[in-house]
Amino acid sequence: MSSLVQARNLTKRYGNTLALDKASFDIDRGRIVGLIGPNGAGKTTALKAVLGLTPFEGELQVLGRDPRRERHRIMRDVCFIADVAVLPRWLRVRQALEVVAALHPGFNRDRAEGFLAKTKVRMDRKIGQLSKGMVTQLHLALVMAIEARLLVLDEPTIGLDIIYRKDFYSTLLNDYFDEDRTILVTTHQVEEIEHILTDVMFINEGRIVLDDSMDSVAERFAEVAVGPDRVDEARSLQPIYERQVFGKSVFLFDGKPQDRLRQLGDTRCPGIADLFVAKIKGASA
Amino acid sequence: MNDMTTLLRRELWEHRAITVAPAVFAALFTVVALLAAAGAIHIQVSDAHVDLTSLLRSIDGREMGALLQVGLAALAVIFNTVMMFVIVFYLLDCLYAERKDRSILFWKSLPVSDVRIVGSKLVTAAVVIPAVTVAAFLAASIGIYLISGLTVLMSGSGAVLAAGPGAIIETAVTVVYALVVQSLWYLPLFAWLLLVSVWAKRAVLLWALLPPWAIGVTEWLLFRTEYFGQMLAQRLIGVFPLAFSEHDVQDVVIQYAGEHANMDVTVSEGVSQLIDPGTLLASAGLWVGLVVAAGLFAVAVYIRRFREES
Repeated sequence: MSSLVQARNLTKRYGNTLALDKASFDIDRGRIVGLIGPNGAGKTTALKAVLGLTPFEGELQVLGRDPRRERHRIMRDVCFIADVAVLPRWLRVRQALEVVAALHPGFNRDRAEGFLAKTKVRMDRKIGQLSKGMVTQLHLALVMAIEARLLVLDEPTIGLDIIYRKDFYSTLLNDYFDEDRTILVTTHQVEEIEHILTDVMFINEGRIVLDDSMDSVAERFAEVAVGPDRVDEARSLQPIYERQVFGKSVFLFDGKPQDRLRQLGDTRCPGIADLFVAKIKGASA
Repeated sequence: MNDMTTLLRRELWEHRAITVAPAVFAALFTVVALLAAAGAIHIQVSDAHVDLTSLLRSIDGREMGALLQVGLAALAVIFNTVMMFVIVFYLLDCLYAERKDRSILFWKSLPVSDVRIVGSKLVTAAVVIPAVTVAAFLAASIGIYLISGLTVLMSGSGAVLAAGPGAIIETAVTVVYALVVQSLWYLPLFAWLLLVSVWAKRAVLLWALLPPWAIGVTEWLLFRTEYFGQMLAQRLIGVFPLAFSEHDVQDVVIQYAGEHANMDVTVSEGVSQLIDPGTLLASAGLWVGLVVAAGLFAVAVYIRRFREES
C-alpha cells in the first residue's frame, strides 16, 4: 500500500454549511502535497479529519487506520503543526524537549538539539519569552526530530516574518524531507510553497476541484498571451479562464495541444496562483 | 509508566501553586515558630508569674507527646485547607488553560491517549498535590519541633525534644491516612471540577458552582425538600466522621485561672489509634461516589477526545 491517506466522500457539516462536500483524495508516500483553497473552503476541516480532530461522514484511512477510532495510534506516525502559536507559553525549551522525548517513541532528542543549536533559541528560556519566529524554529526542531511518516502543516508560517518563512520551508526540504516522508501542507501563500510541492490539490466549497502532480499540471495547463486579432480564435478553443494583462488577453487552457496553442501567441506554464484563480473563479462563473 | 511520570511533572511545571503554596505556608509557620520562641524566652524573663518551665515539668512524656500531637493536628488542618484551595483551582484550570492558550493542539499532536491525559490531571489532584502537601507539612512540623524543642531545652526541659519524633510520626501516619480517604471520598467532586474544566468556555468557577446550586434550588421549589443539598453537605464534610473512630483519645483542656494556666490532657498512645476505615469502607457513600466519579471522568475524556477546537 503506497497510499498513506485514502479519503472517500468526506462530508462535514457545520450547521447549514458544508465544510466538506464528498471530498475524495489520496496521498502517496514520498510526496509534498499542497492543499490550497480560499478561506473557508474546507482546508483546515480536511486536515482535522485526517488528524482525528473532528468527526465527519465518509471513509478515511490514515496509515491504514480510522482516525475516528485510533487517533492516538496514528499520532505515532503522524506529526502536525497546527499553527505557530500553540506551544504552551509556560514551558521551558528544555522541558519541551523532555516532554516530547518521554511521550513520543519516535523522537530523537540529539537531532532536535542539533537543529536548535543552529538557532538563537536557548534551552533555559520559557516559550512565552521567545519571539514568534523562534517558537516556530523550536516547533520545527521538535517535529523534524520525530521519525514520522506523515507531517501535516496547517498554515505553518502565518504571521511570520518573510525571513523565517523562507527558512521554514528550506529547512523542511533540506533537513527533513526524503522519499519515506510525506508532507501535507495548507497555505494561502501559494507562491511560497509552489517550488517545493510535488502534488497540488485545490479545494473550493468543500470539493476537490483539482488533484494532480506538479509535473502533470505543467503538461496539462498552458497560458497563452493573445493579441486582439486572435482573441475569438482563442475563445473558440474553450479556455478555462481569461484575463487582461497590458492590453493583451491571457487565456488559460486545460489539456489543449501545445503546438496548436503556440500558433496563437506566447505560451507559458501558469503559476499555481494563476491556475488557482482560474479554477476557483472559472468554477463560480 | 515513563510517560505518566512526565505527564505528572508537566502539571507541576505548569501549575506552580501546587508546590509554592504549601512551601510558603511551611516557611510561614516556621517563621512564626521562631518569633514565638523568641517571645517565649522574653516572657519568662520579664514576667515571673507565668512559669512555663514548671508547667512543662508538671506533665509527663506521654502527656507532652499528646500535647504536641494536638498542635501538629491543628497545623495539619491548616495545610489541608490550603491544599483544598490548590486542588479546586488546579482542577478548574487544568483542562481549561490548554484550550484558552490553544496549546491543546500541541498536546494532541503527541501520541498519548485522552484517557491518560485526563487521568494525569485527576492523579495530580488526588495523589500528587496531597503528597506535596504532606511533604510541606512534615518540613514545617520538623522545623517547628526543632525550634520549640531547643527553646524549651534552653529553659531547662528536654521534654519537647524527647516527645517530638514520636508525635510527628503519629501525626504523619494519621495525616497520610486522612488524605487518602479524603481523596477517595472527594473523587466525584474532583471529577466534576475536571468535567467543568474541559467543558466550560469561560467562567469555570461559576459553572462549577451554578449547576449544583440550581439543582438544590429547583428541588426546593418543586418538592420543598433539601435532599440534594444534604447529600452535597455530607459529601463535603462527611468523610472524617466515617473514617475515624468516635472516641476522643486526645483532648487538651487549658483552663485559665488568673495568670495561671492549668492543662488537663487526656492522653493515649497516639492519634493514629483513631484510624478506623471499617465504617467508611462499608458505607454506600464511598462506593456510589467512586462510580459517579468514574462516570464524570468518562464524560470528561469523551469531551476532550471529540470536541472540536477552533
